[in-house]
Amino acid sequence: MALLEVKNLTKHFEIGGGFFSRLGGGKKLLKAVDQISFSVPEGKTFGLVGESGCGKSTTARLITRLIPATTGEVYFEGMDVLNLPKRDVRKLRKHIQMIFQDPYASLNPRMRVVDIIGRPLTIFFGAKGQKRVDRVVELLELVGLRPEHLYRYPHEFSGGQRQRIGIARALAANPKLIIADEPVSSLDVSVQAQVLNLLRKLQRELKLSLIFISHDLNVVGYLADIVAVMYAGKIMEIGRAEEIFTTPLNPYTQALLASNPTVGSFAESIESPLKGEVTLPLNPPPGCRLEPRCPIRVSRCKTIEPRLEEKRLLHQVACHEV
Amino acid sequence: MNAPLLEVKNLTVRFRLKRGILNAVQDVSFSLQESETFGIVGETGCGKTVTSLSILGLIPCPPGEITSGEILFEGENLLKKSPREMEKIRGRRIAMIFQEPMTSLNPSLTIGDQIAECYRVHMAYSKKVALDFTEQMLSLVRLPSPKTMVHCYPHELSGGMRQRVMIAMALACQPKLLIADEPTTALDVTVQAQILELLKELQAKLKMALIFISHNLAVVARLCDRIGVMYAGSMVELADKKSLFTDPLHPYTRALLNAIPSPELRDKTLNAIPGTVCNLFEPPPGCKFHPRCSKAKEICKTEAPVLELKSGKNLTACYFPGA
Repeated sequence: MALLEVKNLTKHFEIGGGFFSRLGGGKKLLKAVDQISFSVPEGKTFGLVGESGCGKSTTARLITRLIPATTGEVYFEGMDVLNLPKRDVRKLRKHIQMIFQDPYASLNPRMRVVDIIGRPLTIFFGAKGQKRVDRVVELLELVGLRPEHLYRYPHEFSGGQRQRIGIARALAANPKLIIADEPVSSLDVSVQAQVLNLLRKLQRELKLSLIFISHDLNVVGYLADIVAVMYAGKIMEIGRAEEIFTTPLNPYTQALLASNPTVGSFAESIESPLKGEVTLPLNPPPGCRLEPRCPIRVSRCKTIEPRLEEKRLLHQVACHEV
Repeated sequence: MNAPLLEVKNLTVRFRLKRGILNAVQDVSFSLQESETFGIVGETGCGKTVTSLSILGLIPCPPGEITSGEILFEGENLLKKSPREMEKIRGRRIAMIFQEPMTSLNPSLTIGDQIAECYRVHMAYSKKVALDFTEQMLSLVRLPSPKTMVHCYPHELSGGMRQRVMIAMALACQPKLLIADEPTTALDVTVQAQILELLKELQAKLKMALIFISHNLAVVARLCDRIGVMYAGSMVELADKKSLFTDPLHPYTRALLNAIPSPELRDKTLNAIPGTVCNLFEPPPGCKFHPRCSKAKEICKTEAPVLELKSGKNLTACYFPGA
């Protein structure tokens, strides 16, 4: 059974309504996440990949109830997440924890490591005193830091070490699912590899489920078992990672992979298969979101929105022309 | 072989800060022929940007100082030039593109005014002529409808379009050398591919030399013929693109190439480089990479290796290069 089940999840933001936009023609609807469905199996890594503004982070915030959804359903172990009363949200967060992108912004600069990592222990388990310190030491060692780091402040650490602190904080609640939102994007390659190795080791040893969000195809391809590709608020393709990377079916996925520079492809010429740029889904027209940029578009792409359909075994694609 | 267009010799740059002296760039040398593409790769704080700012005479002084070295551009030492003389070179003969297109454009001027300024200042063209040239530049970087585009403000454009404006501005006076400092880092992959394609095409068309700086080896590889790898302020390896990727000699280059994740490496542990980059205020004696190097021996801890031809085709600063 799936640990997390997302059905037709939708988030619309109203943009404008301020003084100037009232002059300019009223509110617009940003369909940041539009009717997406997917499920995360237990003990697997689910990769969510896409360019900026495609709705990856919004999806993460919706699942963790950091922002309210417009419509849709989210089930975590059968629990109806979106209709959970406010006082029970904390119970949900015990099971679902997040790791954030910017390790400089996501740690309180005025708290010591022991308090940063200890806080979830106090909140969720009521841990106090020496017991709490002992558990923090255990967590520090789990993420490759040492006990002498206990009483230091975040500014005394490098980016990679801070990200380890963020991981330890997420693990403190003993969650079943961790949502990592671009956890290695701000790190240099050599340190990025350390953190990726750590995440994979922890995921396997603790049998965690992981939703790994990134714009970097190489990183997602390395870590994820299942990959969903998002574009302008929609899931364009979803399937097993091996399949997505070897036989992508959606033209957007194909373009992403072709645009993705890899060290192995250094001799190849540069070509950009997609013209133009991502347009934000502000009052989007009917039809496929990729239509204005798509190399294989046909007339109906403009009017009829393609549904995410299973085109191969466990491989869903949203495209009329596949 | 002709005299090189640009020759950087033993460049050393330091910053005097409250915490002490930061050795940003140490003894870096490289040269560049006309219409050659040269890439500088390295991680945060390795000195790539400081090197390029030194070429343009943009190191803030104080706290920065270039303590030794020469930068020869078309035979003239740029470090001996007065600020006034540098102003004439900067933007005219050497131009630069920066990483963040939003912060390097002036938000309160139209992009037409900003590009036209290059022509007005360097070429002393009239307003009308400058505007004509500006429109031509905008269509050269393939921005749609240049006639209306000149009246746009930077906030009206997307990231990719802003970077195209930056390129148009840099190329306005047809410089001999273009320095691009992480020009695609802030962009999405599909847009990055477009900008790389554009840069490559314009570089060939205008026959200018290009120094392309990036932390991303794969991006540099797409654009450059020769590549220099920097670590903690020093150039550790310098080679042709092909031999750098097929036969890297310096342990750092090898480690860097091995640390890049990819779908093919799934189920394998990545070969991460242990530790972190050394503190540039108090760099370790000897080779600066030795605390993280798997092949370090006694000599590495005491004497810094120099960049030279040891074996194979690559220049490398290592006592024990290769496998």
